[in-house]
Amino acid sequence: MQQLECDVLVIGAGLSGVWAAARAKELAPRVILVDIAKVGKSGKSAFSGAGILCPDATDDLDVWHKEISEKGQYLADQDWVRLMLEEHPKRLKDMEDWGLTFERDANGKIHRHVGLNHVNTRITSVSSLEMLDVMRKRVEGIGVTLLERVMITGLLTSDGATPSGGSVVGAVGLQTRTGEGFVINAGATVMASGSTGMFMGAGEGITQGFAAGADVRNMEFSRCFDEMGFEDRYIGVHLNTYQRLGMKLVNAKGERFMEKYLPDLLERGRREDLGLAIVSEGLQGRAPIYMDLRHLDEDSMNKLHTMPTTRLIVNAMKEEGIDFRKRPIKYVVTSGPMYIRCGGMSTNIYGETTLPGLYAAGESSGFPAHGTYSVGGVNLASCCVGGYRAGEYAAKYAAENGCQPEVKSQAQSLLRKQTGPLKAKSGLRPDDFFDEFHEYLSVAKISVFRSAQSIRELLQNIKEWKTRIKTLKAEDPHELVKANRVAPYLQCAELIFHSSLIREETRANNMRIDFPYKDNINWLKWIVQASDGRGGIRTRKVPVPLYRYPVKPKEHTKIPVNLPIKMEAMEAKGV
Amino acid sequence: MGIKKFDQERCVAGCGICIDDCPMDVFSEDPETGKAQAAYPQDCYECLLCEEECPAKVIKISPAVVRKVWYPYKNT
Repeated sequence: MQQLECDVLVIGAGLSGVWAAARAKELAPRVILVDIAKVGKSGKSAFSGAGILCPDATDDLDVWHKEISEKGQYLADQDWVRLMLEEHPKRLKDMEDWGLTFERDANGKIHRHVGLNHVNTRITSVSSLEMLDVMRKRVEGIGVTLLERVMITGLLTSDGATPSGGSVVGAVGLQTRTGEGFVINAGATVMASGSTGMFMGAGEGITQGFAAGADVRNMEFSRCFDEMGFEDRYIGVHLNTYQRLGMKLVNAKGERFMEKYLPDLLERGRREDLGLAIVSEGLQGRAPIYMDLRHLDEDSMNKLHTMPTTRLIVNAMKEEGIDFRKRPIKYVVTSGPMYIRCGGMSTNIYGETTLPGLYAAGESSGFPAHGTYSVGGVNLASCCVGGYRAGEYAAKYAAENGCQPEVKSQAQSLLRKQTGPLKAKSGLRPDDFFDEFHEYLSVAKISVFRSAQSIRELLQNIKEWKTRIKTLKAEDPHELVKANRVAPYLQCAELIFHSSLIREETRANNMRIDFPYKDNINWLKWIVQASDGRGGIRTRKVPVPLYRYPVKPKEHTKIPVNLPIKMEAMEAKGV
Repeated sequence: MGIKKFDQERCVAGCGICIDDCPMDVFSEDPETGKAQAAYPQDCYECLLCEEECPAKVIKISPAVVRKVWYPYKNT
């Protein structure tokens, strides 16, 4: 076992984590940045499409603020929206000074374009791996200690209790190749370990904060469908490329069905809206869905075959005789895995969670500027600004409060727990859990549309799962990492559907077929959840302080939402 | 499909770039040869880092997925 001490511990080295570490190290002498993989090549941001919000001095930020807040359906923390818009240009400038290249026009201005589904805001495209590499060099250059291939499995609290009445004083983790334990004492801790989704993140940072006593918020806007792909096996396409080139979607009857769902934007709508339309067509018996690109001119078709990343899928399919030039290609939406969207630890503009000593940034903080969701470029901008601020205030907190020793019994208990599956003679294997659980979540009445009945059934099922996962088996440290993701993932599911049951309206991904309207009378509120210390969840509804925000909803009524499938139809199909 | 081809014969012993970089920790060092081996191919997420960064170009990744997928509707 290794014991380490630092002023600021940053957990996760995606864009928000590297920013937190970079800023913390400017103010604090000892900063540790821990990551489950390699710093600079880890986290969703390193593999993102890398459209990043790009305001400049000529923009009217009031207009941007309004658009982002409206797209977030008035649940954005508008203090965060403003702050992000004002501070983000400085972060872009920093990254450029450290070596990140931006595409510039003849006048030297950064080349910008409109983000999908937006009108007024502008994004710029950067190379995501280059961006993370620049940040790695920065944190290494100023002396941040990198601790790679270590997974954090639990937070340490000053009173040894969870939930804690004290503060967070560090974390416990394991080396992913040897299983060796780590105890890290920290003056302040920044959680920046993302949420769920790509690379099998299981929301463990969010649930570790929740267990330690931090509030979480907005979990109900998560969903269990997303990944889109071709021909049942090329999953995870960069949809925006095909959108930009002018794709058309048709159903099994040859109808261009987006004319019904989004008559103005058609196939240029948000990924979520396209996914919802495809699922709705499928549930009404009009699948498979096809993407048709045969109308593209030669220039666009050549682009498709040569663009970075996109070309890999397009050319691999071509090798199998699946050719966009020749026929429409089967296009699918998959379901099962949970995607936490804008849910995470409640975090104020200083990056503070509700638990002293614990800060959050990026996805772990639920992207407070998003509300229900606005536009892609906000993600990466939030990572830069949120990471910077969390790092700054964590460093200041650490300077004031110093390091406290861990409560030995708590550390020992966490260390024992994290290696338990290695010692078990038999038990449920983590891959089997994820497969079975995803299959259960994949049905439309859970993954896409929800009702009180389907949610209650799921919550009951989760209780049974909690018993089943008490004995997990891992053969080696690699499998142990996955085993340590099982309980957090199940906890995330409980948080998501517990809050979904409470939010009796349809807003963004919380599609309640038993409440098919957006309720601006009762539900301009955040659902905040906290651990009750007995395995249960305490819930509060907190009104969004719209009275003091500049952007307010126009309608204070219940606005019908035309969900394209009725509850009776779902039951009849048994989906 | 993930790892479509891994030409261990041409892999350079002691290089270790793929082992170092893979976000999913798919590769490990073969203790006998010192070369890389795909120890956990089922965890490949097709991010392509290894294929792009391998100096000997011995890895070929297929973007077809390894893991199971499900659909919320009947897809046939």
